[in-house]
Amino acid sequence: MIYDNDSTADREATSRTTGRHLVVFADGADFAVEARELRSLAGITETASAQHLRSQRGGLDQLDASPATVFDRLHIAVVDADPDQLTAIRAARHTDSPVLAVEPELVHHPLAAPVLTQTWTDTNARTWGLAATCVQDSSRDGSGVRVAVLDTGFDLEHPEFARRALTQRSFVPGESVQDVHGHGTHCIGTACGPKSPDDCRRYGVAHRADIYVGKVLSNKGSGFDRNILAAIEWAIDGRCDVISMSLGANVRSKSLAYEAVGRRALDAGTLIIAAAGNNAQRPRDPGFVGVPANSSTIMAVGALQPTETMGWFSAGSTEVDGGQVDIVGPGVGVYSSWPMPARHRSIDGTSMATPHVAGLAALWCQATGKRGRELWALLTQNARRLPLPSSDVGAGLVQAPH
Amino acid sequence: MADPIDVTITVDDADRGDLDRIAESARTAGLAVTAVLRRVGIISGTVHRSRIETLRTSPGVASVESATGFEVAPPDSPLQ
Repeated sequence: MIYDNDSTADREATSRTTGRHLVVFADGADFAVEARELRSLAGITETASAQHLRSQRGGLDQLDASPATVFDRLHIAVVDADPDQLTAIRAARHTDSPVLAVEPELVHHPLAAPVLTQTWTDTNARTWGLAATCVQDSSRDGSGVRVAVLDTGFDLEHPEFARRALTQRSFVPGESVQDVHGHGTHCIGTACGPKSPDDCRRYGVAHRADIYVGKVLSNKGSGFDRNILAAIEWAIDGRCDVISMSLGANVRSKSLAYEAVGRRALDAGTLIIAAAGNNAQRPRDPGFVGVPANSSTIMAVGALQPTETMGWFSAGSTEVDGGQVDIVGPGVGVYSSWPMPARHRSIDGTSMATPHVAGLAALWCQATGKRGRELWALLTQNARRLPLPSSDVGAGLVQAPH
Repeated sequence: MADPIDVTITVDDADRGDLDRIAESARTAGLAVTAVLRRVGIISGTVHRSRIETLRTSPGVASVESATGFEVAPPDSPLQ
C-alpha cells in the first residue's frame, strides 16, 4: 500500500498501526546510504542495522529500542519519527533521494480459520442432502437428460412416480423390473425423485430427468458382470447421459473389463458413476475402493455425514490407478422412496451418495450441454472443497449449478 | 472335470468392429458365449479353467477375467 496522498496515511492512527513507520528505500541503497538519508532528512542519528543486531548476543532485543532500524536485505527501515520528521522524509520521495515510500507500520493478526463445514438436518421441506448440495437453490431439474440407474429395479407402483415416464428393462433372468428388495427404488428416488411429493419432504435431485431403470441385481440383491455389462450397453445404446451404479465388489485390484467399459462409455458421452464401497470401519480401517468404482474411467463416490465428516463405512482411496475417491455425496441418514407400503426410508451407504452425484450430473448436463469427461470435470471443479483428506473426499462435496 | 467358470472377455480396441469373428474364435478356443456386447466391446461366457490360457491368446482378446459377483446388503440393513 503506497499512498500518494500523505494525509491518508496519517489518518491511519487506529489500533491497526503501531505509530512507527516503514521507510522503503531503492534497491541500490546500502545501510550507509540509508542511515545517512535518515540523518540528513530527519535528524535521526541512531540507525541500527538488523543484520548487525542479529550477529550480536541479545542484539534482537534492541530492535524496538532504536529510533530507526534498517532491515538490510529488504532495504526497509522501521522508524520512530515525529510528524515533522515524517514530512521531511516524505518530501524526499519526489527528489533523487533513495527514499521511495513511507507507510505506517501495521499490526498483523493470524487469520481466523474459514468456516468450511457445517452441520445439516432434514426439514419438512427437504432432505439435508439436497440442502448441502444446493439443489434447492438450483434452477435446473434435469429436463432432457437421461439417467440410468442400474440396481434392483424400481417399485413401478410407487405413487410419487405415478406420472413419471420410465424406460425399463430387466437384465436378471426370470425376474421383472419390479423392485422387491428396495435398494433400487431408494436410489432412483434420490437421483430423480419428484420436486413436491405429497405429504413428505423433497428427496430427489433431477426431478424432471428421463429415468432408465435397469434391473441388474436380483430381488435378493445379487448380480453378475454379464447382467451389469449388458445393462451398461443398453443404457449407452439408449443415449443415456449418466449411469448410476450403487453396487460394488470388495475387490481391491482393478477389473480390466470395467476399465475398458468405463472408457468406452465416456467415449460415447456417457458418464458412469459408482459407489466407492462400504468396506471401511473408520477410524481404524479406511477400507478400499473396489470394483467397478476403482476404474480410472468410472467416477467413485464416497459418503458424507450431515456433519460433513466421512461416513464410518465409506471406502477410502487405494494405490490402484483409478482407485481414488473422486467426490463425495450425502450418504448417511438419506431419506428417499422405498417400495410400498413403506413408501419412504432413511438409510446409509455410499449407495446413497452415488445417486446424489448422478442426479447432480444431470443438472450440470442440462445446464451446460456437457457430457462424458467434460461433465466429470464440471462435477469435480464445482465441488465444495472440504477440510478433509482428498484420499477420503476427492474433490469434495458435489454441488448443483445455479 | 471341474465346472466351467463365468468369464468376462474384453476385446481389443482395434478389433471392436470385428466382434462376431472374435466371438467365433473364442468359441473355437472353448468359450460358451452368453453375450456379445458391441458398444462396450465385451464378450461374456463360460469356459473350463484349462482353456483360459488358450482363450487369452485368441485373436482380438485383450483380457479374460473371471466374472465378478456383486451383492447389496439385505433389505432390512440400515447400511446399503
